[in-house]
Amino acid sequence: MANNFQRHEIGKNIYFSRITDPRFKLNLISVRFLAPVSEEAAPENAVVSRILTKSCRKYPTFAALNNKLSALYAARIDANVSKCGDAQSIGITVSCIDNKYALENEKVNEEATDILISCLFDPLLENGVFPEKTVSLEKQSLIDDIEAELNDKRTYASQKAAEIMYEGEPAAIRPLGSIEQARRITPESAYNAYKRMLNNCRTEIICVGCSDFEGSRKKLTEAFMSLDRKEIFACGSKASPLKDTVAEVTEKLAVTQSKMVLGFKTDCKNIPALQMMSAIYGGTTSSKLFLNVREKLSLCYYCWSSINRIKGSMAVTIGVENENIEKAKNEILAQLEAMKNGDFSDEDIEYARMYRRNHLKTFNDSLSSLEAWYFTGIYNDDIKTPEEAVVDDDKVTREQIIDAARSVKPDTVYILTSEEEK
Amino acid sequence: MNREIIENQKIGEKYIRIKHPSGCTICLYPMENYSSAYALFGTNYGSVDTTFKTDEDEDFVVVPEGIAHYLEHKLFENDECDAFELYAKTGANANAFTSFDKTAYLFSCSQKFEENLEILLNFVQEPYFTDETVQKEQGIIGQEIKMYQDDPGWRVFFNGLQAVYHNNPVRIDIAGTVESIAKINKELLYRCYNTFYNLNNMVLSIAGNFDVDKALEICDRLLKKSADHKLEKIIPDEPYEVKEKSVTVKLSCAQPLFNIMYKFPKMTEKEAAKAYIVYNNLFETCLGRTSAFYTEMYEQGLINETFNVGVFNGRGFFVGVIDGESKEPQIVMDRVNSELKRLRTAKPDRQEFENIKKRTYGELLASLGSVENVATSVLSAEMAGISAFEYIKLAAEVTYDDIIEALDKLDIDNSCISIVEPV
Repeated sequence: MANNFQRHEIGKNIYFSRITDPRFKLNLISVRFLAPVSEEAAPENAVVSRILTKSCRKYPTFAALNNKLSALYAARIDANVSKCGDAQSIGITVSCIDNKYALENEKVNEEATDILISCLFDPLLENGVFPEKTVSLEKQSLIDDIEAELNDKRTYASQKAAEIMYEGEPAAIRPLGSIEQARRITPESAYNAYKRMLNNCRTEIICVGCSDFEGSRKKLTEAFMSLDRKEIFACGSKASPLKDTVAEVTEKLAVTQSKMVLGFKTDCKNIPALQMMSAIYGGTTSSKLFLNVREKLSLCYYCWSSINRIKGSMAVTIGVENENIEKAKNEILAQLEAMKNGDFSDEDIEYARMYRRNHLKTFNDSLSSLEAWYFTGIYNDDIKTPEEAVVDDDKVTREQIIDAARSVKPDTVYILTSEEEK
Repeated sequence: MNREIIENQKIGEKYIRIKHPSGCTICLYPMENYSSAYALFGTNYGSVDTTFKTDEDEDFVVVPEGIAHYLEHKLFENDECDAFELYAKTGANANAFTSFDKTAYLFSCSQKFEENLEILLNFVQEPYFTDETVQKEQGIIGQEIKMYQDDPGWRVFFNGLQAVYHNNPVRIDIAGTVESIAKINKELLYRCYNTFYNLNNMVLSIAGNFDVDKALEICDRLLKKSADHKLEKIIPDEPYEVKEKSVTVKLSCAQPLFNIMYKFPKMTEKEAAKAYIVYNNLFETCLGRTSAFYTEMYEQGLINETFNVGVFNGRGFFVGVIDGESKEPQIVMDRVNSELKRLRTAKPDRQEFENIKKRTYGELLASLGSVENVATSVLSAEMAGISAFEYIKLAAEVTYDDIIEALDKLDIDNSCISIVEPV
């Protein structure tokens, strides 16, 4: 795969990347606009991405657009808004089957690219802004989604923990923003956000599939050339500082199972070592957390650790019975101490290496995983193939893993628990 | 060994199907240029199979709810180690799942395929349960059950199934309850294991990057011949009507979630495959994102992006499901039902149907690009006794008249609504 990735600038801070691989039956084109996260802009940007994927001048209703997409064999246009560190990625993605699988020789790839361009550059307008009715519907839809973050308690707990871990930093803002800010959106503010997105955001176009995307590249280059791009927003991220004292927050809610998130900070710059350390500690079914907290003590169904390399943090998440919270916390911290003391075997290192190697190579087999893989590489200015990441893992030594573990310091404890007393 | 080639020439896809002398059915689907391989070793045994007999039993046996899932957890251990420890040495990503009608053990790997296959075939064929290890799992599974109890999407769906069915065990939670799993012991686990993990009741499905001959050599060496013990599974008789018209519970969530379910009479697996495609096309055409109905409901704020239509089916059960979030779930149900009734005379839009048909075909084709989807759908198809290309073939063949007939046949009032409301 190493030779397949190509990237070049097709406009001011607009980059076009492609990965062509004949194994796929589909093609995917993702356009990501990178904006600094702010309370006000986060929901505006989210609303814009929804408006743009619901209709355009050529297909003026959601039904008309979807009918066209259905006729292109389940082609899709999706909006994906996510956070990467202190930046917000506003993504519009189109995917479709390749031309060679069409039943009636339709030019699916070309038509899908045209739809993407129409949605991005030629939205339905009313008095020079987005139509009031559309904005009000998509605003409500966004508010519904922000509210629904509560439905998945595991993700909800992680999000709440992140707000505490990154307090005062842009990364503390939720990916879709707050309901209060969402309510303030007007047709004008949404349209201004749209203009900012096109004119002021660094843009990453990533294509993955069996096509060579030459046709798409030409069409997209031409479309983006029409923009007036002078000022480009900075969209970098900063590592999160360690708190002087550990923040401890408990929230009560009507839940059957309690959730706990332990947040840590690290200044370790050796990312492969940090990833290897997390794999041994709590990343796999042979990790310390799985074998001890789950298998030995039977305290939980899941207990995992994960690294946020952009913010320099690690989180451990667990779903646990109320009365076992302290016991679980003590064990999680004791296992981290063991990591710091080098209390793990060469076999553990080898297992983590094997697990990561397997995991990394599997990125090659799906369009969306490859897109996400290369986007992460691009954002972190650390572009490599999954195979090159395997080589980096192989170079990690036991001492580096211990150093990585020692760099990890407790920062936040977040507990979501039931309203009854313990 | 007879190697049967299952093929769909139109899309240029094929796989090998073998009835192995051990009794096991093996399906091998090599995919060129892929990095990874995905293997599932599954038994046609799920949470619905609580009543059964073999030629060794005098009468039908009834076992506690959640036992298939409990067995899945416990099979990973043998007297020396845990299968996860073995997979740790190869780096494979291993897991297992229990559904209503099947249990499968799986791994995905991009290296050491043969070693992984050996681990898989060995541990699934070597049960080892002791009182202590069975006891230890109670806490872990208890937490798994509780995790799902807090999940409004899961609860609204299950409550719906409980409202649809009187007797069909699909109405029981796959993992059972904290009370039912307390009754599980090693004797019961062995009994279920010996009944359902007979290779005549099992399928091995492998897709992706692997060597067919090497895989078969491992199967020949490791699959232990099972005598066919004439397994009979009973799905209890089910009345025609839904059990309850409406069920509501309160849970911590943002806005009400709903599942509207239409009950269908019992059908064969072949009939179910066709009905699956026809009713998906019907619901999508009448109520889905391209319909005038959807736009109207969305614009009136009665539904949001979570609104979804489809079919949920498996061995012995088939329901049409319309689900989503709404501040007014009962109104949504009334509107859905009157729209379906209206379209019986007004007729659904023919062009929209043609587009939906292409979309269904496109989605099925797209799923063939994923090693995991291919291996999983081959396993499911084999257990249902159909080809893995049956759905894509049916999707290319479905006609407008099929959906008109299906709409006439649908018993719109034999339906129920399950609602989860915020506390």
